[in-house]
Amino acid sequence: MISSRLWSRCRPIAEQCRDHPFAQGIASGRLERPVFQHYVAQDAFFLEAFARAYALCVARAPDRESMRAFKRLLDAVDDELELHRSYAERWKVDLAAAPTQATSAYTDFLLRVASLESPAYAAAAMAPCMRLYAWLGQQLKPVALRDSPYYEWIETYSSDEFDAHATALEALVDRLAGDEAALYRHYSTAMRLELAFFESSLASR
Amino acid sequence: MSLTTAALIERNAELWDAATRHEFLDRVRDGTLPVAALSRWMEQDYLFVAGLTRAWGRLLVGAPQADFRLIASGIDAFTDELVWFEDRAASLAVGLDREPLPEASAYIGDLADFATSPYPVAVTGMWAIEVAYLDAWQGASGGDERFSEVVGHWANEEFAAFVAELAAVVDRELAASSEHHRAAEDAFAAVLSHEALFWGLAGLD
Repeated sequence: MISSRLWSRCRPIAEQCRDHPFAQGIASGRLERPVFQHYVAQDAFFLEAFARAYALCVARAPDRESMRAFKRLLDAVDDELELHRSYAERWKVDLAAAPTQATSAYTDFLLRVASLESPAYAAAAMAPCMRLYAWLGQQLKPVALRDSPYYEWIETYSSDEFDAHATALEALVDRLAGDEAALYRHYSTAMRLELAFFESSLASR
Repeated sequence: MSLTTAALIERNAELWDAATRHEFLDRVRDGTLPVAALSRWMEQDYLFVAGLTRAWGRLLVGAPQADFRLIASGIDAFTDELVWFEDRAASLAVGLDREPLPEASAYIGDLADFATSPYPVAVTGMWAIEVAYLDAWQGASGGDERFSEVVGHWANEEFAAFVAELAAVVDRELAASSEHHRAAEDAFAAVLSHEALFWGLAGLD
């Protein structure tokens, strides 16, 4: 399957993300609160763009089945945005914060691909975010401290429900397919942007 | 000057009447419409709804986050509607593989333009389509039982509530963007002109 090959090739970047002090700090609970606040605000900005990219995929889907699949993923992001609003209230996060360069680089990339290229390529650019977060949640859950203030984050992304969304997007990558070298370019670009997103959150201290 | 959804309808009364009153609708109400005419119209409307679903994907791209759920519910309604057409294709002899007639083709082509306009204009155009439709079918209701299932599909409280919610969004957007009033009214008038021609696709003449 294309999606599992893309993931395997990018696995070293995924491991860098997992071992990054940001992810480790979430698991141990030692991540400084302002860093998490900064991350939640940036992630909310990112998710809004992610929803718009899915909407473009709905508009450009080649068939009804993929249109409905993209629509269900759009609904899932909507739910995640709702979760961020509740985080924001509890963590006193300003959701109107301006995007950082790392955030803009990522959202601009996604919206450009979703606007200009076919939904297969948009799906390849969007799948890393979904698979990486599912994987991070599952990897960190066994080692995470249950009383980490960030344990809810780990529970969300390690859930079967989130994994199912990642799998649904990967199924679209596999079914719509395309030039695998080009799909890999988008996939690996998104993975590197994920790592830069973590870097940038930590640099916000 | 203030522009509202109510003012748009009032100021374009002639176009509004042409878009929402037609022999086709009268004959649906009194039960004298030949089934073949309904089938011809439905074949074209099926193509239109497919285009409309995609247009609403594009509408979300420019929408504020607060409107995501309403727009997403619209996309669901339209994809369900395509299935509704398909379920009736056999009994009403509706061909699902027809080419669009010139009037339908022009309307579907304009949908993408409406949907990618600045949001206040885009949402006005999309509301115009729905409100004209609702009013037209409400006018066709309450008559002969023969087409009551078809009429009830559009003239119902759920659809009316959706249109009212959409109108509230348009009023909010128009109140905040006087620079877009002219383009919004142009989009409204263009939609009504297309709607007026669309009923003729039943080929009653």
